[in-house]
This record gives sequence, C-alpha cells and structure tokens, in this order.
Amino acid sequence: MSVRSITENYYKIAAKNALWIVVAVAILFFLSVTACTIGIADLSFSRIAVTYLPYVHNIISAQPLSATEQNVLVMLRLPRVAAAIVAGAGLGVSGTAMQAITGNQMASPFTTGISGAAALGAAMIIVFGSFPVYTQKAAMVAAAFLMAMLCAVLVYGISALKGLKAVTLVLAGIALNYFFSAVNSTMQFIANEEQLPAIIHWTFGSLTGVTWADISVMACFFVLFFPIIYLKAWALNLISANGDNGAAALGVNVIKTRLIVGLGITLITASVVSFTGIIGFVGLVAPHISRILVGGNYRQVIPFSALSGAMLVLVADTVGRNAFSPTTIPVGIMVSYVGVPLFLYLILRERSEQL
Amino acid sequence: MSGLLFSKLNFSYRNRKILNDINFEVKPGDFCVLLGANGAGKSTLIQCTNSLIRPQEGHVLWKGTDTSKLSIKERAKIYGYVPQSTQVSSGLSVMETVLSGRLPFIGYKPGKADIEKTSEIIQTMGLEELAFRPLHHLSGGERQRVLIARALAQEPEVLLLDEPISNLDLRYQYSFMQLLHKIKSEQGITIVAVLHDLNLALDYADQTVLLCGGKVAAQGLPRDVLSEEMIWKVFQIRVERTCIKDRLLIVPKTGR
Repeated sequence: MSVRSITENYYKIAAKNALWIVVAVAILFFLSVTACTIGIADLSFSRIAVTYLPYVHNIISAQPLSATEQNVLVMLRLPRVAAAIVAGAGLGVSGTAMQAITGNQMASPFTTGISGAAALGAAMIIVFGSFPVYTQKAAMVAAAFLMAMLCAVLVYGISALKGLKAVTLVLAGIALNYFFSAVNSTMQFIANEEQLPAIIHWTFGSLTGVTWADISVMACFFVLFFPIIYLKAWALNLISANGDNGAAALGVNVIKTRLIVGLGITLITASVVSFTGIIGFVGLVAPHISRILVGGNYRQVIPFSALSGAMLVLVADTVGRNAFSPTTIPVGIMVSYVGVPLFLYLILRERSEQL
Repeated sequence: MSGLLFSKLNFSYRNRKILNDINFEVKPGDFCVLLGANGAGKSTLIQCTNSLIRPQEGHVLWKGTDTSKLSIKERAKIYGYVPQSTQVSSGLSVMETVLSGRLPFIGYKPGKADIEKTSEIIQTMGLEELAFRPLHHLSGGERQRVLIARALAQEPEVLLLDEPISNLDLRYQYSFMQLLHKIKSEQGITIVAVLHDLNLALDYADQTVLLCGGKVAAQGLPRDVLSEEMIWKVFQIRVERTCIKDRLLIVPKTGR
C-alpha cells in the first residue's frame, strides 16, 4: 500500500465517522419530534406542522393546535425534550471524559462523589430549610450545586496531594461518595414523614417541572465546557491508553489536562444533577455504546457519547411518561430499563463479531 | 558537539538509592545499550532521561541543554520513548496510534502534513497491512513495531527504548535490532536501549553502559566492557567469550 493510499484511507474513515455523527444528529432530531407528539394531549406531527410551518396547510389537511395545546407543546413537551437532550448529552460527555482521565472504563460522572453530595445538598434544604414554596426549588438547586462543587474540590484537592493520579482521584471519589451518602442517610433518618418522600424522590432523577430557565443554565455549562473537553480529545486518547507516563512522554501535560477536563466534568454534571436529580447509568453506558459504534478515538467518542446520552435519556423519559400514563415514571429509573437491554445487546453483538 | 550527557545523576525512592552518581555521555548518532541485573536502575535511568522521573540531584543534558527545564512538548520533540510494556488499553487503530506521536507538533487537530508523515512512517515500518486494524488486535511483536513507529512520528533526536525485545521471539528480536540499526544509520537518531541479551549488545551497540547497584560499573565499547570478570561482577554468572566466524559471543558456563 502506498503512502498516498494510506492517507486516502485515513480520510475515508474520518469521513465515515463524520457521517455517523450526522446520522446520529438526524436520529436525535427524529426522536425529539416524535417525543413531542407522544402524550395525553393529541399533538400529532401533522397538526404541529400545520400550526407552525407556512404553506403546509395547503398540502396537509389537519386541524391547527388550539392555544391550550400550543401551551402544552411549548411549556411542557418541548422543555422536557430539551432537558432530556441537554442532560443526556452532558452526562454522556462527562462520563466519557471521566473514563478517559481516570483510565477506568467503570468510571462515570459520579465517580468523584458528585451525586451523593448533590443529594445531600437537596436533602439539607428539605430538612432544615424554611424557604417559602416559590423559592424552595431554587434553594434546592443552589444547595445541590454547591455541595457537588464542594465534593469535587475535596476530591481533586485530596488527589492533588498525591500528584493528581487517576487511582487517588477514583479512590478519594469513592470514599467521599460514601461519606456524603452516610450524611444523606442521616438526613433521611431524622426527616419527618413529609420530608422523607421528598428526599427520596429527588434521588430518582426526574425531568418533571424543568423550566426553560433551568435548561438554559444547564445548556450554558454544556456549551461552555463541551468544546474545551473536545479540544483535549488527543490528550485523553493518550492518557487513557498509555497512562500518565506514556502520555507525558508524548508531550501531554497530564495534570493540567486532568484539572481542566475535571473542571468541565464537574460543572456540567453538577448543573445537570442540581436540576434533575440523579440520572445514573447514562454517564457509564453512553461512552461504551459510542466506543462500540465508532471505535476508540475520543475525537469521535466525545461527540457521539453526547448524542447517544441525549437519545438514551430522551427515549427513557418518553417511555417513562407514557408507558403507565397518567403516572410518570422518573427518568432516573426508566433510563436503566431502556439502556440495559440495548447495552447488553451491543456487548453480545461485539463479542460474537470478534469470535 | 556534545551528545546526551548524564551528569552526577542521583535518584532515591523511599530511602533506597536507585541511581548513584551516574556520569556518562552518549555521542550523537550512537546506539548505546544499558545492561545490568534486575533492579540495577536501568528503567529508572531511561525515565530520568526524559524527565518522567525527576532525579533528586544531577542533570541530563542533550547538546548542552538541560532538557528537564524544557516544556513537556519541547521534550517530546527531543525524546521518543517506548515503554517496557506494549499492553495498551486503547481502541485506537494503528494509524491513529502512530498519528498520536505527532501530538507535540499539532494543536488539537492533526493537519495534512501530519497525516502524510504518519503514512510515510507506517510504510517505512512495514505496517501498511495493519494500518487500520485496532491496536489491541495485534500480536506483541506487531504492537512493538507500532510503538516504535509512534516514537518515530515524534521525529525525535533521541530514541529511548526500555527492554524493547523482551516480548519478541528470536526472529523478531533480530529483525527488530536490524530495524533499529537502520533507523540509526539512515536517520542519525541517537538510541539508548535497555537490553538483557549480551550478544545482541555485542552485535549492535556502539557503546555499552553496565549498571550495577545503581552505579556505572563499566562503560565503553561492548567488546571492552563485557569481559568475563565484569560479567561475573555484575551478573554473578561465569561466562566464556568465544569467537565463531569472527563474531564474538558470550556463552554461560553454567548449564546441564
């Protein structure tokens, strides 16, 4: 094979991977539109199209949405879909980045104990806060976010005492997660009969009641830190594959990369968790699904895990709010029911292909 | 012009002296082999060279520059490093792995020149047929060649190899040593390699440094350094030097 044909093959594979991303974006768009149309209120695609797209009423004969139905679409369905996309994308990217900086494929955005700390923050407001009802939610979000940040500072600080090695990062995270979970359990122990269900319900992870303002905060953190993490893709390739020394020998400043990417993971995850509660599994499984589909290069895995995370949460939430309608099952629960069979199928398919 | 100079290098780990006053120089373009018993400090010395380990005292100078004071990227342009283990937990393809050696030269995205350079190295190393296979599907010998190719993609002035042939069978050991000889001759790259095979050192090295207990026990031309007495002193094994078809060989006296 000549130098030219090797180069051409490389570009062909790069183009194929880019096509995968475009296909995934198209599928996500299709799922989003579908999710908007599914629910108790009859908001079919044709009715939405007739209402919002010009000239479509000449082609399709459907009744436009009433003012109430438009409110349902804009104030309930769309924010829920947008929240699922932003939360799923954020957790997917954060999981991928965490697995890269720790070189551990069992890591997730919650490896550094953020989820336990955020849950504690919310529980503290529920048990000790005496806020008026209309500020209760904002107080819980702020407390969850601050506790998550405090936890991350402690984990990275403790790990920094030992040179910010991957293993100390993971171990300090596990230790602090247990600590915050213990304090959270203490909160549940001392909570009264009204407070206890609220604390437990927060940990389920739900998109109910998420507003456009909440979504814009989550989206700001995602839009700010996704490019920063993506720009470190080559460094993450080397750290995860070769360890600290191997990466440093190839010109990677491992500690700086771990700090910058760690900050991005922390802020994206903390912002998501503070508004939605704990949505587990996505951050663990989205990177694996992406690796199975597009290979191990983080330049592909990072954007693809954002898309696969978004799809997973969107599908889980749509199933969760419709499967036992009018009861809504929290997305934090549904995501495992939807994700586990898919993940197992992909693992088995990959293994049988390797045989 | 001075080459790779090790000056008064000392390194201790948990009060144990690993490197003790290391002083020697490798000329530019030379192939230097580090020999010594297990635990003599060979791998530590290799990692002190490109500052993966920071010595408590002393310096490593390349052409008069203390490379520990350079940035990580600048250092990666001077030293290419191939570690002892070829186990790489990566889903990257061979092409992507070799391309990652270009990291010191690129920002966030490899350019056309980087990709062409990588393709050239893949062809030089005879890896064309493996170029788009995942690295973890390759045998130990093939991975070894890929990691050398990645180090060459760094366009290094010095190649540091830590036991590069320990996982290879006899055929691959010799073809690998031929490859290193070719790289040295054609590209003028200085090579410092840790080896255990004394006969390969005799065949290929321009210079041998024998380490014993963290100290330089002897240094110089392989045929001068690897005397029967010195091998007994360092390895505690009796050997016999013999010549077969004008080729000097070291044969252990122990055996059945």
